[in-house]
Formats: sequence, structure tokens, C-alpha cells
Amino acid sequence: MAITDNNFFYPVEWLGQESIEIARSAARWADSELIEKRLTLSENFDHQMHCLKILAKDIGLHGLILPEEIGGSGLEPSQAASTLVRVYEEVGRADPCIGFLSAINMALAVFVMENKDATEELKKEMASYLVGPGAVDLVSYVPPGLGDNEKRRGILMGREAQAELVKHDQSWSLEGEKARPMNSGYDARMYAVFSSASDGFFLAFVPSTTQGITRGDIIKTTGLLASRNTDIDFAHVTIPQTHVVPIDEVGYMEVSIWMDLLLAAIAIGSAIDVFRLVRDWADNRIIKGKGLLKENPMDAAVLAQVAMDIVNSRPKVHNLARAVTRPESFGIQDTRGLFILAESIFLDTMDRCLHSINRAMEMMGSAGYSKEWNVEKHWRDLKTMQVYMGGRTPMEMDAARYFYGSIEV
Amino acid sequence: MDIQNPFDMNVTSSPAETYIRRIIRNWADNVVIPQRRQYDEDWEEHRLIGPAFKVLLADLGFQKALVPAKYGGWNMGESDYLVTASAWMFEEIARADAGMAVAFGVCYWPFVMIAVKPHINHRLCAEFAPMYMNTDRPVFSAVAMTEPQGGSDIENIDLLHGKTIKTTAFLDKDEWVINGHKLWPSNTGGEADLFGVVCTTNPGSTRDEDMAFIFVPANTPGVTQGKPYEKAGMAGDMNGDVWFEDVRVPSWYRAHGPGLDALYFREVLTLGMMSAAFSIGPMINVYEILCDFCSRKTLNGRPLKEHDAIAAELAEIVTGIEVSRSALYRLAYMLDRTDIYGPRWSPAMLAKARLTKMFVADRCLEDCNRAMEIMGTYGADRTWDVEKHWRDIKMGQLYEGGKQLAQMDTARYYFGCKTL
Ligand SMILES: Cc1cc2nc3c(=O)[nH]c(=O)nc-3n(C[C@H](O)[C@H](O)[C@H](O)COP(=O)(O)OP(=O)(O)OC[C@H]3O[C@@H](n4cnc5c(N)ncnc54)[C@H](O)[C@@H]3O)c2cc1C
Repeated sequence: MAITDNNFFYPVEWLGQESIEIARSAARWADSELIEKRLTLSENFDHQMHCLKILAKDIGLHGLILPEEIGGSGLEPSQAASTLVRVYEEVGRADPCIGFLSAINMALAVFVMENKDATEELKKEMASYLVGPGAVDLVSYVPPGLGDNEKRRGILMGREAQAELVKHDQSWSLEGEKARPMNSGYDARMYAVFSSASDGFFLAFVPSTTQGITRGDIIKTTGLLASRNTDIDFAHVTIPQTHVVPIDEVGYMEVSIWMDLLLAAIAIGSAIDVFRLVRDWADNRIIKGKGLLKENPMDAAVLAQVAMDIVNSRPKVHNLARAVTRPESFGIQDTRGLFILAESIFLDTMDRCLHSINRAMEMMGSAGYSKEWNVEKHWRDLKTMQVYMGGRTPMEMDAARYFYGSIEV
Repeated sequence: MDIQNPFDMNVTSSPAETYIRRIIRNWADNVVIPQRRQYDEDWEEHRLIGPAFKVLLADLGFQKALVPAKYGGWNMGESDYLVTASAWMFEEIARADAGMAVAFGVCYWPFVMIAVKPHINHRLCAEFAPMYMNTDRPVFSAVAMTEPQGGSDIENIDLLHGKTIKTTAFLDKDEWVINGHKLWPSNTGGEADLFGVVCTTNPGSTRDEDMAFIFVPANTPGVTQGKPYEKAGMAGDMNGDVWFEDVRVPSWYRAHGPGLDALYFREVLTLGMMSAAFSIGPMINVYEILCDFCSRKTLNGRPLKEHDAIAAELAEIVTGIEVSRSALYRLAYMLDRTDIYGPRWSPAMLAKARLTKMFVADRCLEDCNRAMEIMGTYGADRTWDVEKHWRDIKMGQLYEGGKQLAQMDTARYYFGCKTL
């Protein structure tokens, strides 16, 4: 806790005592379950899932924003934004991948719980995945994104749906080839598939055991290895009406805002851990055969950048949380404004945290590149997280639409 | 070789280049690229990587390249195109796998001391050539330089003159007795057959005369190689600890002797900067991958390459490749034309080499980042290979003294700094 509390400044006054206690629990979990066991268990899938369960269920992170009547703590999600950011910083410090798995599930849960079109049945099912007994059941998001030249589907804000829904009397059917989820395609209990239909867009919630779903082999990836992913085929998959929720631009933005917020918080935590690692490494490293490396002005400048990137981005992420809680105090009038703020802060935070980690690796020479020090894992995980949000250009197009009224982009 | 992309054009337009590039390209396309997605898991054993090296080094014979012709080699060490030829060989191998390219380059590295004109040590060439000639297995060499207290200081030869080297060599009659601990040399982790060991005959000395470069066959009693380290990438190159405990070799295994070892070691450092090719090769492959990906995938209904904002990013990527390549081959030309630019061991050449590698490594990493972002989710997939290149390219910034030493060597030469 000391490292996140004492070194990098953020508006502590926005956190109540209870929030600070929750963050402390997360920090203890981070240190004892993960950081101390890194040398042997760093990217061990079973261990990561075990730690996720402790975080989500025993410490209670996943229940935080669920209504009391379905097993949660009853906090209004928007009121919990600052608390969540603080907690996800601790999670990111320990393991960005665990944070990523949890964050995507939380963002989808907020969408379902707050959505007037979502049925009670769906809400309960979602809640049981998040807070029910046993291991964490993961929900995998199949977002709109890059399209395929040979197949055309509905496009929302430049992004193409990866699947198509057709309405029948009492149900829907879903079609999609080689759809690529954002997270956990291989292990998911349920898929949340952004789909196009003749009359708009929908988020279809499909249990992974439903007939017609075929998962491929696990795809190896740069980072976020516990989020085992694969391509999914949906062939004539029948979905009950209870599990299909309409989604428009605003709905898409709402999901994205939560992802941007929580992933940015994870990135901050990750960069803070790298800061600690490079600081420890530099503490007694000698250069030029005599002086301490950190006393060399050039190296000190690089080390300073590692820290200053965090100093620069952390308050922004906490500001974003505050804007989620109180948009009016930032002059934000609608979801679109909040969405642009979230995307801009996400992009910048990822850039800065990756810059910080890159410079730390540079400083540490071979140690930065070896698995032993774990710096390279943070680097791989954050880069993967950055590209999983779809890349820079689609976000820049969003900003052009918002600020300049661009239409065709 | 079909001209498939604009980077396939010859750089030096010599017939030898076309021919040798084609040989390496065939090896890369048929032996390495079909299997390289499994290389990450092969970091410890080299069950797949080892046989691929056998084809390149032993079967195709590239392990003989630097050795003088009279000992059975290809005589590249006496070629006026040594550096340029190395650049395109490295680039071509790195297009398939940068880790293997590093390992390949380091096989030649200790031989820069003894097999390159104008300072060929015929006795040592005759001694070690048979290891490389009379065999059908790949033979690996290593330059053992980096030590636990730091690699950069040992490379910072113009400032420290070997002062921090802890590995010692003392003469006992007509034998060197070597003791020390090295870390990270390429081709170690059990793989090395021959070491060029950077050591001191007078610990703490700042005299060039006390720095020694001594050859040590890996099977000499007292040499121990540790297990390979697990790294972010570059599985094709094995790196580990090497211990030398009372290792005895004949006195004439020292490359040249007092003063000259340090002088020519500067050339080893300068030529090491041809590692810029290890960043460019992967980017050429990234270009090939993007050509395919950006035609297949769409953004807002348009193929990525027809989306103006993406096209702008693509343009940046090829600009990076072209400009980096120009810098690399210009450097190679300067290092080949010692008649015009002077010896490769001069501070001027070291600075020019360091800044080239620094620029290329930074730019290629930046461009590989761009490529991953264009590809979105797929950018992190092993199946598209771009993420592999990204992990490998990162190393280009870190080895050989890191970015900071490159900056210091550069500033020292260009601005006449005295205390850096
Ligand atoms: C894939 C790979 C292959 C390698 N191959 C070899 C090989 O073949 N042979 C071999 O001997 N080693 C090899 N190495 C080791 C590598 O060359 C060293 O790691 C590198 O030189 C940096 O040394 P270091 O890690 O000990 O860091 P240090 O030397 O401790 O440097 C730490 C930091 O100090 C900075 N620094 C350096 N000099 C100065 C200065 N004068 N002023 C201010 N700051 C400075 C550096 O930039 C770096 O950021 C390899 C490493 C890898 C990962």
C-alpha cells in the first residue's frame, strides 16, 4: 500500500474511509498472493484464476456494484468509480491480466444491471457468475471492431459487428464466423456478442455451452496469458429473447467508458510496480566503475521519466472516475462527452505507462528483458491491453466525430 | 527470388548478394518461418531451433564464412564488402527470426579479432578453423564480455579502458590461467563451442595494455555454462552464466597482445552495431504481413490500407524501414571503405555505429508498435507474428551497452566531451 499511497499523488479526498479499507485489502492480496510468489507462479493459469477468485469473491470486488437483492453490496456503480479505480490500481500492480479479466466482466455487469431493457433473468444470471459460489465464471465480450473484406455486417461508429442476429417468433438466432472476443474466448461461461440485426444493434448474451458454438484452439498472445482467447464460430445459435439487449451508440459508449476507466487504472498500478522494480534495481547499481547509476544525471533523467509518466497520468485517471460519478461538475452534458474524455484519458494513460515501462526496461539492460524481474511481463500485458481496445485510429475517429462533426470517417 | 516487395531490391547490386540472399531467403521461408511460432517454447532446449541452425551453419556452410580460404573458409574476413555483406545476411535472417540472427552474428563476432584484415592471426585461425570446417554440426562461438556488475562499463572502453573487468588472466609459464564469471553472452546456456573472453591481466588497471581477449574452447577443463535464461523474446539466442575456474589455455590463445587486443576489441564493438540489421529484418517481415492484413481487414467498411488515417500510419512504417536501411547501409559502406573513412576501431567509427544502431532500434520499435495498433486485437496474436517481432526488436535497444552508452559515445565524439 505504501508505494501506491505515498509516492504518486491523486485526489485522496474523493475516497471515503471504507474505500481506503477495500483498497488496503486489495493491496494485501496483491502482495501476498501474487507479488511474493512471482518467481515461481508468474504466469501460471491456475494460480491466476485462484487469485482472481479470492479477489472477486472472498474480498468481494465483483459484488461491490451489484444490487443487494441479487447478492451484491448495493453500491451505485457511478458512485463507486473512485473506489474501483483505487482497487484496480492495486490489482494492476500485482498482475494486469487478473485486472483485465475482472474489469471486462465488471464493465459488462454495469451495462446489464443499469440497462432498462435487460431482463431480471439476465441480471440474476450475470450476478451468479460474478458472486455465486465456486470459481469465477467469466463473461467474454465480442466487441465490434475490424471487419472482414469478404463479409459485411452492420457498422457502428466505424466498427463492424462480428456477428449477425436474426429475429424469430420467440427467439433469435446468431451467426458469426471466426469472431474474436476481447477476453477469455476459450474459458468463458458466457459470451456477450455485439451483433447487428436488420433493425439495429444488440448485445446477445449466450452461454458458451449453447448448441452451435464452436471454439478454436487457444491462441497464443503477447501478454494477458490468463485471458485464454480463441476464435469462435456461431452457427444457427438460438438465443432466448430474455438474453438479447438492444444497444445503440450510447450503450456502446457506456460499456467502453467502464473499460477505459478500469483498464487505465490497471495500467497505473502496473507502471507503479515497474517503478518499484527499477528503483530497487537502481538502488545499488554502479556505473562507470564508481558512482551509483542513479547519481548519473543522464540515468537520473531516465529514471525521472519513469516516475513522471505516472505522476502525470494518475490524477487524470482519478479525474475520469470523478467525472463518471459527477459528470456535471466537469461540464459534461451527456454520455458522448464522458466517452470522449474516457477514450482520451485511456489512450494517453496507456501511452505514458508504456513509455514509463519502456524506459525502465532500457535502464535495466538485460535485467529488464529477463523474465526473472517481471518488468517484461508488465510490458507485454499493457501492450496487449492497449491493442485489445481496438487500436488508436478508431478512437481518433471518435474524437473527430465529436469535436468536428466528421461523418464519413 | 521473386521481387515480392520493394525491400527485396539489392542494396549493393553485386551478383554475390543476389545469390547469397536467395540461399538465406529459401532457408528462412522453408525451414524457419513454418516453425517459428513454436520457437518461444523452445527457448531452453532448441529442439526445433537447433536443427534449423544446422542447416544454415553446417549444411549451407555459413559457419565457414569469415575464416581465410587457406584454412578452408570463404575468406569473407578479407573481403572489401565484409560489413555490407554481413548487413544483408543479418537482415535476411532477422526477417525470419531476430534471435537466430543475433546468434548467427555472434558466431562471427570473436573472429573479428583474428580473421579480419588487416590483423589476421594466422596461427589462431589455423588452430580453430578445423572446428568449423570438418563437421556436419553447427558450431557456436561467443564473446564473453558482460559481467554481473555490468556490461556497459566493459564496453565503455574509451573512458574506462577495462578498469571494471573482474575476469582475470595471469600467465603461468606458457599458459594463461583464467578466472571469472560472465553473464548473458549470446550462444551460451550450453551451446557455445568457443569463447572469446574479455579479461584483464591487471585488475583495476586503466591501461589498454592490460585488457586481454583470449580464446577458450568450451570443453577446456574449468569452463562451466549455466542454463539459459528465460527472456521476453529472442528464443533463438541462448544466454546464460559462464564460469571460468582456473581455466588454462596456451599463451598464444591471446588474440594479439598488450594494446592491440584493446584496439581491435573496439572494432568488435563497432561491428557489433551492425545489430541494427536485427531490427530492420523483422520490420521488413512486418511490412509483408501488413500488406496481407491491411488488404483483408476493414475499418468502417474500407480495407485498412484504403483508410486514409491507417494509410498514413502505414506510410510512417515504410518510411522508418527505408530511412533505417539507408542509415545501416551507409554505415556498412563507411566501415568497408577503411581507405576513405579510416580504421573501424576509431572513436569516429564507433560513434557513427552507435548512433546508427540507436536510431534504428528506436525507430523500428516505434514502427512495430504502430503495426500492432493498426492490427488491434490481432496485433497481440502469435499467429500474425508481429508481436514476436515486437518482443525481439525491443532487445535492440538494450544490448551492447544500452542506449545510454550509445548516447555517451556519440556525444563524446561529436562534442569533444571529456568527462562522460
Ligand atoms: C539477447 C542478448 C544478447 C546478448 N549478447 C551478449 C554477448 O554476446 N556478449 C556479452 O558479453 N553480453 C551480451 N549481452 C549482454 C548485454 O550486452 C548487456 O546486458 C548490456 O551491455 C547492458 O549491460 P547490463 O545489463 O549489465 O547493464 P549495465 O551495464 O549495468 O547498464 C545499466 C544501465 O546503465 C546505462 N549506462 C551504461 N553506461 C553508462 C554511462 N557511461 N553513463 C550512464 N549510463 C550508462 C545503460 O544504458 C543501462 O541503462 C546480451 C544480452 C541479451 C539480452
